[in-house]
Amino acid sequence: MISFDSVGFRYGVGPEILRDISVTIEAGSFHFLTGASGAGKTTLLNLIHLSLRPTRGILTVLGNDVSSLPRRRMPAVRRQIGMVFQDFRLLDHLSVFDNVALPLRLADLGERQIRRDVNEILTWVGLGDAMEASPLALSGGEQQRAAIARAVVSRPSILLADEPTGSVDEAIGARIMRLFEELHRLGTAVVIATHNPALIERFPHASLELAEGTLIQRADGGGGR
Amino acid sequence: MRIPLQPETRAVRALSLVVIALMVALGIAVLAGAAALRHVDVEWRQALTGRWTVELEPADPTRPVAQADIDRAVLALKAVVGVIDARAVPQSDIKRLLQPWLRNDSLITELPLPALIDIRVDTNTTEPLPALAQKIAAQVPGAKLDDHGAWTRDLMRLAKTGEALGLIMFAAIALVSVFTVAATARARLTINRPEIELLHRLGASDGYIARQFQTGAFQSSAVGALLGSIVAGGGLAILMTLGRAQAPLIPRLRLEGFDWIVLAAVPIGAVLLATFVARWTAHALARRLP
Repeated sequence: MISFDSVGFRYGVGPEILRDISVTIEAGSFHFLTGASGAGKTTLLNLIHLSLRPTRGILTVLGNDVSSLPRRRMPAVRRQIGMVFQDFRLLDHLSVFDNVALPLRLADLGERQIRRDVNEILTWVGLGDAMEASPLALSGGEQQRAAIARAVVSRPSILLADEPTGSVDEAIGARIMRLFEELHRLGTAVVIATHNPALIERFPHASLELAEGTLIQRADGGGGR
Repeated sequence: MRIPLQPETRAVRALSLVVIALMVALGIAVLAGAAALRHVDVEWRQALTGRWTVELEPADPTRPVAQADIDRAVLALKAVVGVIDARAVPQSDIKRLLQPWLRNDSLITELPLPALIDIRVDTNTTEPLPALAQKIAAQVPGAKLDDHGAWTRDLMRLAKTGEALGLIMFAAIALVSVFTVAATARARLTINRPEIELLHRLGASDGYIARQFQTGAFQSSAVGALLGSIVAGGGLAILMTLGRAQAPLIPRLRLEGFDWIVLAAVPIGAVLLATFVARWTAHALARRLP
């Protein structure tokens, strides 16, 4: 599903941020991506999300070589990847419902199906009563859950989450993690970037650690397939 | 399916509307002016081609030319080869022509005016002007021949220059419109950049993002073009009504079928231009995203 083969990445002519990354992430697996701040976790997620292209090596996502993938084919691949951004990126002028509906509208689904799927996912994340609210009216934890709902509403093949529990309390964090595990059970490959060791301890899954630009694969905690 | 982008601020929306309305109104006005000048040029040419004037000065500067002398001159002119017709201009017509210039009725009455004879000449067979003038001088001693060339050439040159200037101004307005619409689209893209980046990352194609702006630009420019057309149409209606009321020395504003088609194409062209430029600008900026 995702394959890194000696992948390196640098911004412009700067130093190489990621070096010789080689790892395979199978369909339906669950991985934590750990590392200190600035280790390159977000960059690695952006590579998988096709927001960046490797400067060397071969990266394959959903059967597509990212280096040579034509630009016109990228949107279709991106629509199969759900991304929970660290800063949520909810659009303030849209309601929670319309924010979550964005991926479905981009996929050109019918309005009836959109209404059904968005209602279902918002109820699932506990925001069934806040559908028409503005994101500005939500707490940090609620915004996080809305962002997660948007990332998973189209049932992506891959879910990437960048510090998804960073701004919520422990109870909400645990709830969010259970949502991810539920998706994982439904067959989605989940990669969660975090530097929260307590989270990794509580939810034992395979772990990839970034240190000094290289990747260290930790023992599988039982989440991989 | 259209995703609602962050609405334009009232100022940006007003700017788009006013710019398009202004450009359309100016464009229509300039093109209408150019078309009117072209018609004036054609009218003058048609009216004056082959129409010359013979002027008889009074022998006694204190008295008008005798009617018998005028009649004799008309007959003599009709006998000249190349002259199709000769007709004395009535003194009342001459006074009427002078009235706008002199205003003073008693002065016009007292002035010893020259006699004028309109002649129509065959432009295909007529001899060159100096030769014909000599013949006429031989037939009608003291007559002066005026083919109106001196002033009509200047007026026609003026009309042609005015028409060309109008077209250049229209091209300039169109060019300024392109830059203004592009700048407005860029301003809007800057305002909407977070949404564009998000849509891009959620899997929207460059074309899809461009279409969102194209739709917004189409709606704004359509309203602006309609306003501009109403303003320009009102202005033209006033000018044409004034033209009918007839200020004697000002050529009447006249527009024909093809002119109206061209004028109607201005707002349509403006809307298409604004829509295309907005789409192109948005597409170009979307392509810069990774």
